[in-house]
This record gives sequence, C-alpha cells and structure tokens, in this order.
Amino acid sequence: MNDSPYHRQSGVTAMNRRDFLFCSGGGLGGIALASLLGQESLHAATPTGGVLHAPAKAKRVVQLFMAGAASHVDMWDHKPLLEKKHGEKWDPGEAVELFQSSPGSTFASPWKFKPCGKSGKMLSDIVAPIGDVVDDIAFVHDIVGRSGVHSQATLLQSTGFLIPGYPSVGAWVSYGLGSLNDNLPTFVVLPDIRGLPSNGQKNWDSAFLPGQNQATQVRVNAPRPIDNLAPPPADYITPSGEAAGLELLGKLNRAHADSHPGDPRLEARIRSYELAAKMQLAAPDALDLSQESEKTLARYGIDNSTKVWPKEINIAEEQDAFGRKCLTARRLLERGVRFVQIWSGNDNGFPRRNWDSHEDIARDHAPLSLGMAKGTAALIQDLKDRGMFEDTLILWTTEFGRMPCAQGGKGRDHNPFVFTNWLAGGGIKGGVSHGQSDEWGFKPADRKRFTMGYDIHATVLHLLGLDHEKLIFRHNGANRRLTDVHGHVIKEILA
Amino acid sequence: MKQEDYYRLQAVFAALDRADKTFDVDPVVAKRRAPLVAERTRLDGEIKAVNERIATVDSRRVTLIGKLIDELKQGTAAVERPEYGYHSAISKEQSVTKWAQVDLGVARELTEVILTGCHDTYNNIGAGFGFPLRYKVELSDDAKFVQGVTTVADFTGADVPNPGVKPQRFPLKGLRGRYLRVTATKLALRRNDYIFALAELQAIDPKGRNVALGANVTSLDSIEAGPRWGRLNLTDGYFYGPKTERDDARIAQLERERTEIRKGSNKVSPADNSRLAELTAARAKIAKELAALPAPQVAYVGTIHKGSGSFAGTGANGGKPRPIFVLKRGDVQQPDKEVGPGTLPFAKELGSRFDLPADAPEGARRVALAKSITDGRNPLTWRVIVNRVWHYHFGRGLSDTPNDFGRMGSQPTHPELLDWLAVEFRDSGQSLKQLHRLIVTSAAYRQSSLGNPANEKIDTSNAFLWRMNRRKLEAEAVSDSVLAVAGKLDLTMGGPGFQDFVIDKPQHSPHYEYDQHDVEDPKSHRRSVYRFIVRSQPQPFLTVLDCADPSMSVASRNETVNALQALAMRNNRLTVAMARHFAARVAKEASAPPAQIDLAFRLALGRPPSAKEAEAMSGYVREHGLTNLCRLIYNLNEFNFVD
Repeated sequence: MNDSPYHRQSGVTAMNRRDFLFCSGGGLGGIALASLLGQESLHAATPTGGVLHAPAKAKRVVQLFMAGAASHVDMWDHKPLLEKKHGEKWDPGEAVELFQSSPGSTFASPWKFKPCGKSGKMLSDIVAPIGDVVDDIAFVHDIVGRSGVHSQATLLQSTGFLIPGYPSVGAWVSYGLGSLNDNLPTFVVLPDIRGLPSNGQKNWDSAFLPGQNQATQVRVNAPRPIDNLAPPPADYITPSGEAAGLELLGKLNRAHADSHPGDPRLEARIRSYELAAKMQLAAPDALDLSQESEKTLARYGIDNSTKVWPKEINIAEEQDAFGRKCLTARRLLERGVRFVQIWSGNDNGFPRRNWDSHEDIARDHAPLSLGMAKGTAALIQDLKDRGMFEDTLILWTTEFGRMPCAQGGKGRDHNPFVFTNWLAGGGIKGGVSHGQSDEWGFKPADRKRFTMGYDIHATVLHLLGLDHEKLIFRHNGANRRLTDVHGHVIKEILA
Repeated sequence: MKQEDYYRLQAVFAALDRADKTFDVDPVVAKRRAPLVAERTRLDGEIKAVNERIATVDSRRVTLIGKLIDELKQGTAAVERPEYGYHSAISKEQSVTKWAQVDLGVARELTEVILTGCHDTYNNIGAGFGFPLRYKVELSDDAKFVQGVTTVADFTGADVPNPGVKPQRFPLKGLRGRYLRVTATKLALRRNDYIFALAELQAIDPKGRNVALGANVTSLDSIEAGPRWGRLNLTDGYFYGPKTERDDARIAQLERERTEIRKGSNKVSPADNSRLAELTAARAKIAKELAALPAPQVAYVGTIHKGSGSFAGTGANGGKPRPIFVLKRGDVQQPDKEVGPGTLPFAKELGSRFDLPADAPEGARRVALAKSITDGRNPLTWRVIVNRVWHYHFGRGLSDTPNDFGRMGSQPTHPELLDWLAVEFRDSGQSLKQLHRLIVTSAAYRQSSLGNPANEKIDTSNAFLWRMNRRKLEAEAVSDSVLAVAGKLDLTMGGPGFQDFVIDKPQHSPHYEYDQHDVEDPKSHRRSVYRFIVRSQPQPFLTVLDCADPSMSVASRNETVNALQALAMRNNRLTVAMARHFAARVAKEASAPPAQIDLAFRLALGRPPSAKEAEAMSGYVREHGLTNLCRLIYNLNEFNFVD
C-alpha cells in the first residue's frame, strides 16, 4: 500500500486553518480570512505555506505575448546568410514541411540590423527602441516549439500544454505566491481589444486551479475596462443606495453568520464584499492614465491628440495601443498586481493587425514591432527609474518564429522549429544571448540541445522562488505542474 | 493498466471522425429510410457507371485533342506542362515486375505502338527518368493478359540502354486488340531504390490516329501525385519531345479526328439507353418515397466521415476502422504491433478483448464496449455512478475522487454503503430518479447542517457525515435561482439550447461576445443546462462562480469565495436586470412594503424575515426602493448557500 500523502487518503483528515485558507484560495478570499483571523501571514494562504522553495529574485512578472507569431529573423536573430543568399533557391539540405505553403526563395529581412548597447547585440531597425535597454536583456535564440498551429502553439507558451484545460502561467504564479495587495486582483491580462489571440481567454484561465487565480481582463482604453466593476447604467442604482445597501448587506450577512457558526465560508463571503468595494475604488485609479505626466505619456508613445486613427495599420496607432498597455501594466505592478500579461495583435479583420505575416512581413511587422518596441523600452526604463526593475521579471514571447524563406515573395510562413524569447529584470543576466539558431534561423544550431517553452516557464518560477517540480496541484488523479514532465532552469541567463 | 489495453480502447473508435450525421428521431421512420437510402446509393452507382461508359473516354479525348491543337498552333517550343507521366510505387528491389496497361475501349487494328520516356524538369532528374532496363510490350483482348496474348516487343532477356525521351517505336502490322500492356521486369534506379515510369503510350491505327489518347489506364501500382504523376498522364498526348514550330498538317488531322469523335459520341447504344431510362425511373421512385418521409435531423457528431477533400475519413473505405498500433513511447513514428478493439480489464470475468469477427461492422465495436461497461459484473460502473450522485447531493462523494477509482484514488469513507448503493441501483431497475429518492430521503441527508463543537473536534471536515454539509450553490444554480425568484425562469424541457452571446467575426477565430447579449431575451431564461457551451470561451459570469472549464473532465468543481464573485453578483447585468423583475413581481403580488419585504424574503430564502431584519429592510426600501432591496437579497449569504 502506498503511504505517500497523495494516496489512500481516508477523508478523515481534519481540515486545519491552513488547509482551509488553501481551499478558499491564496488570492483575495484567502487574504480576507487571513486578515480576519488575524493570525496568519498573507502567504499562509499559498500552497507553499509562505515558504518559498528558493530565494526569490523577482516578485512580479510582465509577460509580453505577440499573438500570431513574431519573426525572430526580422527582429532579434540576425542572419547575415539570408542577406548573402537573398533571392536564391533556399536549400537547408533537409526536408522542409511548412504550415501552408511550399518554400520560396531565401528571404533577407527587409530591415537593417545594427549593433546596440555595450553588448553590441545586433538588432533590427523595427526593434530599434529596444537598443537603449538591450544590455538588460537575455535573449534565448534556440526555443523549439511543438506545433506550427496557432492555437496549440499559443497554449503551449501560455499554459505549457498543447490542449486547452490547463492553467495559465499567470494563474500558476498567482496560485503559488498569492497576492501582494488587498484591493486588486493577483493576475491581470491586458488583451489587444481589436482581436483576441487564438484560444481567447483560455490563455489566461485558471482551469483547475481555484477561481481567484484566473486573470481579470482589463480592456485598456475601452469604455468599460473591467467586467462588473461598476453596475451597468440602471435608473434605480444611486451612489447613496449603493453605500447603504452594502452596509445593510453586511449587517444581514453578519447576523446570518452568527447564527450559523463554524462555517468560515460565510465570514469569507462577508469580507469578499468589503474587498470588492475596495477594488471598486482602487481599480479605476490604477487605470487612470491621465494622472501621468505628458513626458511619461510621450515616452510610452501614447498620443492623446489623435481621436480617429487611419484605416491602414500605422506606427503611431500601434505605439499608442501598446504603450497604453505597458503604462497600465506599470501602474498595476506598482499597486501590487503579481502577474500582468500583455497581448499584441491578433486581429483578422481589415486591416489585419496581426503578427501572422504570411502575406507581407514589411507591411505588418514594421508598425506592430515598432509599437511594441517603444512601449517595451519605456516600460523597462520606467521600472528602472522607480527601482522596480530589479524585482520585476519581463518575459517577451510569441507562438513560434517565421521561416527564412519567402512565402508568396513578401511574407513568411510559420517556423515552430526555432524562435526567440527574451527575459529581463529580476534575477536575469543582461546583455547575453543564449542558444543559437542555425545559420538560416531555421532550426536550432545544436539539434540535440536546445531550449523549450518549459525551460522558460521553469526559469520564471525559479526566479520567483518557486521550484517548478514542486509547484503542483492534484487534479483528476495526477499531480499537475506548469511544466508537465519537462523543464530545466536556464542557468546561463541567471544573474 | 497495460499500454496495449489503452490502444484497444482507441481501436473501438478507429473508424470515426466528426461530421454531420443525419438521423431520424422516430425509429420506425429510420427503419423505413435505411433500405431506401441503400437502394438509391446502388442506383446512383449504376447510373454513374453507365454514363461513364458512354461518355468519359470520348469526352476526355476531345479535351486532350483541344489542348494539343492549341499547343501546336503556338508551336510546342513554348509548351512546358507538368504532366510528366505514369510513376510506379517505389521498390527496394530492382528485379520486381510491374506493369501498366491501356484500355482502347474496343479491339482496334493497330500499325504501331510508341513508348516515350519521362523528362522530369521539376526535380532536374532529366530525360528517361524511370525507363525500365528490361521490359516487354503485349497486346490482348483479355484485360488480365492470360489468354490470347501477342508479344509486340520483348526486352526481358538483357538490359537495354536508357533511350532518354527518344520515342521507342514498335510496328504491329495490322494486329488487333483492346488492351496494351507494358511490363517492366527490371526497374530503373532512382536514388537508393527502383521505379518504373513512362511519359506516354501511343497506339497508332491505320489512319495514323493515336487511339490511345484519353484511354483508361490501369497498373499494378501507381504514385498519384497530380498534376505531375498519375496513370492518366500515360495517355494524355503530352510528353517531352523535340520542339516543333506550328504544324498545320497535324492540326488539321487532329481537328478531323475531333469532329469524328464528337459525331460518334452521341451514338449511345440502344441497350445503354434503355438501361439508363430504367435506372432513372427507379431512382425517381425512390426519391419520391424518401421525400414523403419526415425530414431527418442533422447533428455534428462522431461518425463515419464520408466527405472528400484534403481530409479523407474512413467513408471512402466503407467505414472500415483504421488499423491501430501500439505506439512505442506514444510516438506515431514508432508503431509496434497492431491491436484489435477492447477495453480496460475492469473485471476478470469480462476480459479486455472484444473477439469480433473480422468482417464485423465498425459499430459492433462500440456495441461491445457499451455492453462491457454496462455488464452487471463490471463493478466500476455501478460504484462510480452512485458515488457521483451522492457527491452531487452531499458536496462530496463517499470516495472523494469521483473520476478516479483506481490505485491513485481515495479510499471510500463508507465502503459498505458504496457497495450496497451500487448493488441496489444495479438490481432495482437502474433508475436514477429512484436513486435520488433513496438518497434524499435518507437520515443522513435529512440532518441539519448546523455545527457541533464536540463533533468538530473529532471530524472537522465532516467526512463521516455527522451533519449535513452546507452547500454553496454552484454557478448554474445561482443563475437559475436568480431567474426563478424573479419569476422569469422558463422550465420548458428539452429541445435545442440557447445562446447567451453574440458571435462577432465568425469568419476566423470568432469572438463570443457575452456582454452584447440581451439579458432580457426570454429565450435565455431557460435553465442553465440548456446553455450553449463555448469551450473556447466560457461564460464569464458563471466562470467567476467556479463553473467548470468545459474543455476537461472535472470530477468535482472548485469552490471558492472571492471578491470577483462579489462584484459579479452585485453588478452583473443579469442580476441588475432580474432585480427589477423580482421587485415588480413582489409589488404585484403584495400591496404594502411590509408584506412586500416578507414576500421577497420568502421567495428568495424560503422563510419570513425576523422582526429585526424586517425593520432594517423597511428603512432601506423607504430610502432606496424595493428594486435595490431585491438586488441586495440576491447577494445574501443565505441566498447563495443551501443549509
């Protein structure tokens, strides 16, 4: 008979306070009780019981996700061979299987690459603003994906699994570490409101993890950025009625709880309304970019003067859209939000604001990338100015890369065989490039040793003080991990 | 559990994909429809065969002649087409016999047969690609080349040099025959393997016409990789040859030939004509009978995929299951031994293999699985279902791992009770309704949920059920209760579900816009079980209330209490709108505020308010109105928990 804690539980185990806090979740509900009971620290509500697996280098995370698949060879991974062989028949010397086309000729990036920073990292013109902070960044150029299909590849990077039903990285971090605040959610996602990524909210779901670990969606610059934060317009709802109603609700619930002792959920629910009221005050304040100076807005590329954007995809609009999300992220991080996920592009309308540049890499990638680069560089510098960069981890990721050969002359097809991620901030060694793609940017240079998304996830957890092999949740008879049965911390990029 | 058993289970479903399936709700109709549909399919097949016999070769020939004339007019130097020719399957051995043959339709008098080798410019392989080292050419009226075979040419005794694209001409001196066969006995080298390929076979009649043009081609095997490679490329009139300028004489000859065919192709034989008429009439009769039946329903379900296109299901193969192999390390590139259908060895008596006859229809596999699952000797089925029902009533199963009764699952707290319930359910008609009745009338179920400090100390989590568990309403129950109390819940049973979202951008990655749905739409006021579930984008209000992720099997839901739920209950459009209806209902059914407050409380909580509660609420109603109170009641703990 197996006596491990996961086996043969008789069900008689008494639920102690810590178990209960755990069940009621490490997020707001848990805190509600923690502070109510006045005996447990904030972290007691987390599965690690407030004890981290390792010393944490970072407290919070920003994940920048380029939906549709951003091209490594046009942004971060300079390939001189493509320039040399541009227009020639592309022959990598092995079979090539593409997502939706036959390989075209070798296709040099439409943009020039220049050495940047002290590290002399070669960056393309469409990520030029990143040049100012390039020495803070650790690039990983040999990421290998497991699928060239958008939905699966997106899920692999966002949840660690190819199929839906698994928690997002942000949900795992929220579950593992709990909250840093008592008036905002732990995990916030800032989607591109013009088009959700493949799988939509599956990318920021808590799945089987307790519900408070799911992301709260903030639609930056939308009329009602957060669902249910305020009631919809209704003639019978007034500010004084709201205040008096909350007070009466508390009173009635209190009397009910007093007459039904021994059920901590009733207390927790009373507190959840008080916390909700705090959130109603804190969230609009956090999202109010008008509190920022003109200088800051300009730094992020935010343009308040243009009210109607041109129909065609353009740099100014992309800078504005991405910059607002980056600045909102900084304001949320400052207020103790643990994990912010920012999405760029997956609009399939017209114009197609999407990194998925099958048709025309120059048309799509230039505005999207310049918009992304401006906001990202501003965020890094701003975090540095505020002393937050040292304990904030920034992860730039995408679904997969794009091919070194042309599709239809001007575009590039999917390349799940190798692509680039980068990290910066808390615990990361800046100015390094880890792993190499081959001379084409087609596959990893070393076919036996390469990096996978699991390794990135393991590294993120490690920097937060969590061991990816110990952060587990039992579900359907299996001990589930973010990294499934994979993952190695990438030691080479640690500070 | 053995890996092999896992793959056996896969084999049960190996014929299925997802596709539209039509079905009859009424089994009587289904029984009448089946033979009619089968007969219609048979007739369609025969009609198609007759039509093909009459038309295809001639019409193909006309099309091909048209192409040749166009090319000759501009001069063949300008022409480069990708239809290289016929290409056999690849062989690891060189001395293998492969053949391809041309059917001239009827026995024809021939003066010459011409073979031309391939020229593969796509892969730059060049002239004579695949031309066999040893081969023979034969003529016969027997498609199988057993009887009456005349040898036209025989090079099987010694290797011949590769002729490149130079036409190999074999005179026949007026021999007659319907079939021409080229048999290769020593194949041409490709890279590390061997093939047989030919660009064109021409059969010239005494008038100098190529009567093989457009003819049907059969072969031992073939790589059909259109447009470059395919059997019919052998008789398409196109091959890589010497370039010519415009050739008026040849054009004129081809035009004459085309006119003759066009005239001749209208001459359908009387036998064919009358057969066609018979078949068409029979088909019309069947169609009429089918039209008289009630229209079938359509559902997108797991079924035999019959469509054509880039995805081919098992339909083309008569729904025969795909072979299933044990995959080493689960890798599709490493198939091991093939396995037949079966299941997991739940009980020794049942075994894990379904010994079905080799020609059993695929559905027999699924029937066998259903029988094995519902077999009275299968202990899992009965234990699992009673445990689930218990779990739904008590908030926790007798085993608290309802999806896992294996080695990794929890031991039941009351094993004897679990087995007794399982046997009782199995042997008393297997009625779930009776099972519910049995459980909810039990002493255990009818206990109070109030605590007791002494017992708390012994069994804090109430595993042994010394009290009833207070149950937090699950997401759907909250939503249904909000509607019910407002007098809006539509209890209609059955039928198609409702959508509580608007679909935006349906052309690609659709967005399901729940916030654009009109919460006042009565169609969406049915019970939540009729909700259309979008697996890719769950309903946000229900999700925040711990509704399970629909993309996975969830044995027991999370139950959390958090501030996002508080915000949703207070400010969600549904509760804000239903509070209005709740208040209107109360105002209609009771006249004055004290009676209204009393009624609102009774409707929502099943009890009248205490004097203290009533007093506090009446002040609030005076100041802020009944609707605000109704909205408040939705947010009470007591509304969201069941004692």
